[in-house]
Amino acid sequence: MANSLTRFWGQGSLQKHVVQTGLRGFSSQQNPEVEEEEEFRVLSLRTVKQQFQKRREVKKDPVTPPRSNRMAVDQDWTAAWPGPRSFHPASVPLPLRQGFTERGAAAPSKFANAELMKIPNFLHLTPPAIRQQCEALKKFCTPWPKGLETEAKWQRHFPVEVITTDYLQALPTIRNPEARRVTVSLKLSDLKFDAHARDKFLRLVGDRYDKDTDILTFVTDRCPLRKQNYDYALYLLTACYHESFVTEPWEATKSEADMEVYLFGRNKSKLSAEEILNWNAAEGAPKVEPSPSYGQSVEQLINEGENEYNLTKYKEEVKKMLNIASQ
Amino acid sequence: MKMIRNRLAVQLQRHVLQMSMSTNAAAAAAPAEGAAISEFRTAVTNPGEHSALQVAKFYTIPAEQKKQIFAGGGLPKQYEQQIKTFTEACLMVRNPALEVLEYIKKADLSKPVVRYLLYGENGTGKTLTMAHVLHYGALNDFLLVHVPWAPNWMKRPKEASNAAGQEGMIDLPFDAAAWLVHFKGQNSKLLQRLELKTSKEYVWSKRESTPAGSTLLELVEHGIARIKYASETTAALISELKLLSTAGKCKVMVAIDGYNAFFHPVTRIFSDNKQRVTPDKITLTHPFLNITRYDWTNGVCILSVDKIAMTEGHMDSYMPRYLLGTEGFEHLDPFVPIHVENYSDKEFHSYISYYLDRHWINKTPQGFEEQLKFMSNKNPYALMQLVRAL
Amino acid sequence: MAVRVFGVNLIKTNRNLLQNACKTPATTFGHTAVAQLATEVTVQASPAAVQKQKVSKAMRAYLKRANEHDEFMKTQHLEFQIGKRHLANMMGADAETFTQEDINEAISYLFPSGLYDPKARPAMKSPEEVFPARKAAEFDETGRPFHSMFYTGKPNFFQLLHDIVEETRKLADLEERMLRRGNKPDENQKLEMSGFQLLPKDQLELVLVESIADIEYSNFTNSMDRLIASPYAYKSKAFIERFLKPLLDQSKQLEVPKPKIDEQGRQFITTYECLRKTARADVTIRLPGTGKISINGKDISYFEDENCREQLLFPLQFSEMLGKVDVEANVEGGGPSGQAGAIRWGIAMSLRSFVDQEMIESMRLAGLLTRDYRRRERKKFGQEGARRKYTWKKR
Repeated sequence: MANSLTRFWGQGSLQKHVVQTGLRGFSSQQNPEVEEEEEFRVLSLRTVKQQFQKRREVKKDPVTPPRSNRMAVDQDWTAAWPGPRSFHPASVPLPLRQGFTERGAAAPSKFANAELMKIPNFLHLTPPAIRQQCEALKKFCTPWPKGLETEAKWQRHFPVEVITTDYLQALPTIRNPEARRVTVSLKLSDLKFDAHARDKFLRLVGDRYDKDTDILTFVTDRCPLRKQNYDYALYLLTACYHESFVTEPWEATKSEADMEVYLFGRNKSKLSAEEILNWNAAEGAPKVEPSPSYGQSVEQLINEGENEYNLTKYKEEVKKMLNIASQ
Repeated sequence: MKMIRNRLAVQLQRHVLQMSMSTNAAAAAAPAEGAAISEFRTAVTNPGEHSALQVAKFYTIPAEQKKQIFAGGGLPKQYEQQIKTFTEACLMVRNPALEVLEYIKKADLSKPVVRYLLYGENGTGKTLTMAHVLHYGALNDFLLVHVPWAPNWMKRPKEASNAAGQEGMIDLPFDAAAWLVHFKGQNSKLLQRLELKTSKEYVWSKRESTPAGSTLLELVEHGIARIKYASETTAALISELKLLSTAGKCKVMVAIDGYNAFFHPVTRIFSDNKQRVTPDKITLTHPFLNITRYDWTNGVCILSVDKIAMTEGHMDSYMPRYLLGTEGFEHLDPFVPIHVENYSDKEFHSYISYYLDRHWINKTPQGFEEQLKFMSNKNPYALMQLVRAL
Repeated sequence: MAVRVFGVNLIKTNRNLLQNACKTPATTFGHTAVAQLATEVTVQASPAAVQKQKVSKAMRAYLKRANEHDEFMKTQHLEFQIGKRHLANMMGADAETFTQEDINEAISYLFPSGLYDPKARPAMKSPEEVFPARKAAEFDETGRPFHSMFYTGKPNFFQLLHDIVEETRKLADLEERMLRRGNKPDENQKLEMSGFQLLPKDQLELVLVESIADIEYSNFTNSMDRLIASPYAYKSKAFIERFLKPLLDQSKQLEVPKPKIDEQGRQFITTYECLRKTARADVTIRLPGTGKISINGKDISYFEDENCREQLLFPLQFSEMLGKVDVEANVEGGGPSGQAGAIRWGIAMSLRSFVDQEMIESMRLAGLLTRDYRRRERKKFGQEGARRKYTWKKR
């Protein structure tokens, strides 16, 4: 059925013309009968011959029927519409309609319909087209390296991510200033630190570190060339890392206000606890230290913020330390 | 069903009693009924004997004791009104108070003083818990150093003047004198009995001085009589108390409500150069900070931190560390935080029964208790507001 | 011979749809109904009745137009069929099994349009749907109407009334006969009218392809009601059902969602989009519960106001579910009263799944299930607020 219909339509406008004439012939069948009826004749006493000058008919080129009429329904569509292009009614063999109308009327057809041209189309990206292109690209692909199958694996082997952008543009110059920009990012957990170094490193990199995602990002664009920017970014990373392990003499003067976390050992809490524990102790007797778990609970209370859990833990530790009877 | 009939009988009985006697007498008589006592009441009026058995039950503070302890404040105003209406001073025995009492009873008083810190949401009963403990203290020969509501000094002082001796400090003479009156009212009997003497001579001015060896009562009375020196007298009194209790001559119970007011960033008091002063510029602050330190023995501190002791912008959380701030936390650490929570189901039911008993709730449509529970979220203050008079 | 040919042709043209003044959208429902009436007309026009008469000019114009339309529709059909094959070819699908759904999907893929109204997006539909239906010719070539009620101006409508009365009479006769025999109507077969309603006026107009007045519509409903009220109405069920419409929107609202089961094995139901003023909430109710409430992670103390707490209390207390269910709500936007109102509506809507039908009905009557659409009224210029005027001062 499909093939026969295709042939019927596919052979072009000639066939269609025949059909149309056939239809016309059918409809004009009744014309003779109508003609038979006498027209109402007008009585004209004077037979004035009216001379009508025949106007010269302006010869118009016949409007060529749309290309889509000649398309076979089993054609290769990717050949008919090879690339991205805005909608063209004569090239798309679909009876599309678009537009909002008052109730009762049909929506405007595809011809001279600007709405259809405004919207993007994916006529060049039909599923067969995509399949075809993938097929064509396949021969250029190399096999995926072994041992890097999952994201976790390649993250482990290549922790540093470098992002650069190439620009294609229609300017006299082929260079885009943005192309020199280099973004280097990595997870901070991939670097090894001690407590001091980590703190110092974070202070050195400032807001280049995102606490939520644990990702450190350097963006360099101060050198004119991409290569230089890339080298600079790696230099920055290296320099910051090694600098963070250096302890300067002035770092010892860090006061309580500069502390990023609360440390029990440095604070008044420890002194008060010691004093209470050593109350009325004899001179020279060994000093009783507050238990480390108490220190931890105080640190937790202040560093993590107050909540019922931390406060209850603190209460239990205080009771244990002060030897208060529990109920 | 039987229970209800029982309660009805009790109510009837009480009603008749109230009709026959004068109201005051009825209030005094109610707890003494003994056998006919309701299930939500307890006959144990001594807080020292309260245990988990009495949880969620009401006990009555005898009128003269109530007058002695709470004459100068210590109960919330609306609760005071309720006491007046119900013609009896009833307190519910609740877990936080029992916990503190337990600690105090078992405490080794020769060790440095332990600070207990009550905290909790607005209206959960911190002040009443403190009142319960104060009652215990008064009955057990503790000298009470009680500040009913510390923020009063920072927020609405009677009068503020420059301190005579210290530069840049502010005196609150009337408030200090009022506190001395309160102290005297609470402790006069005990002071007379203990015969405590001052350790050194206090020179107030060229002519006035209190010699070493005079009784504390004389010191207090001097402060009350010479209002100008009330603040200094308070400081002297408190340092004397610390010395005496460390020496083992007396026991001291410190109870300060709204303690975090001492660490609030600013007060509403203006200095000479029209700037708000900080609480540490007020002379009255120092003695009370002094007595809440850990460097003395034979005492106990019950403090409370409260959101409403703070001002706008500092009221986000009811947690002690937030309310005290860094400075206050360091001052108090290590303390024992005690969480005062909303009513439990049992306590709530008990309170409703109490209100029914006092004929305070008249209309009892079906499910009213559930609805009250929902509306008040079992918060004591919210419940009191919901059933309040118009 | 010519006459004969003419007659045959005429019948053909009658079957075609003649242009009519009233334009009707081509909904599928209306379309089939029109076609039905149209065929009735055709049957009545027997070729024997045709005599040789003069064909008037108007008649000729009619016939011409009908022919043109017929032809146009034919080409459109053909184009659509071919377009469908083309589309199937483009998408690499089989043309034989390419359905209208596939067409819609393909078109929305090929021409992604972000226009809000789906009707304004590009589409490829069969011509029956695109072009509105028209009324068939009502008279023959001599100008003699087919329908006996043609001169009423609304033959289809009055025919319908006529039919209804006919049916009613038939049922009345039946009832009388049954009474005489002592039979009673079958209760089991009773016509179920709940969830259905008579066609509204505009839809009835579509079916009749005629515009009718309000009073005529009420005549229709009255006579239909009389027919339906008959105890033997089930005998003419097929007739009645042609003019019934299911109460879709209301029954949808009445449709109570089934509770789901959570990890702890408790039933729960979540209502999203609880709106009041500018507050937006979603409410989850869990059964069995202990009356716990959490609003944005806080308990009922989230609302400081007594009023707002009462708002939440009302649906729970009304349905006697207080203390039996747990409520979790997330709410944002608006002020306290708006938020409380939003949560209240959410609680009431969710509670429907846990109470019986009677309670739902009384909750509806209490207004618990009704959305409150009131919004803040704007301030007017020249006035102090929405309604209040500036203080009038003489000078």
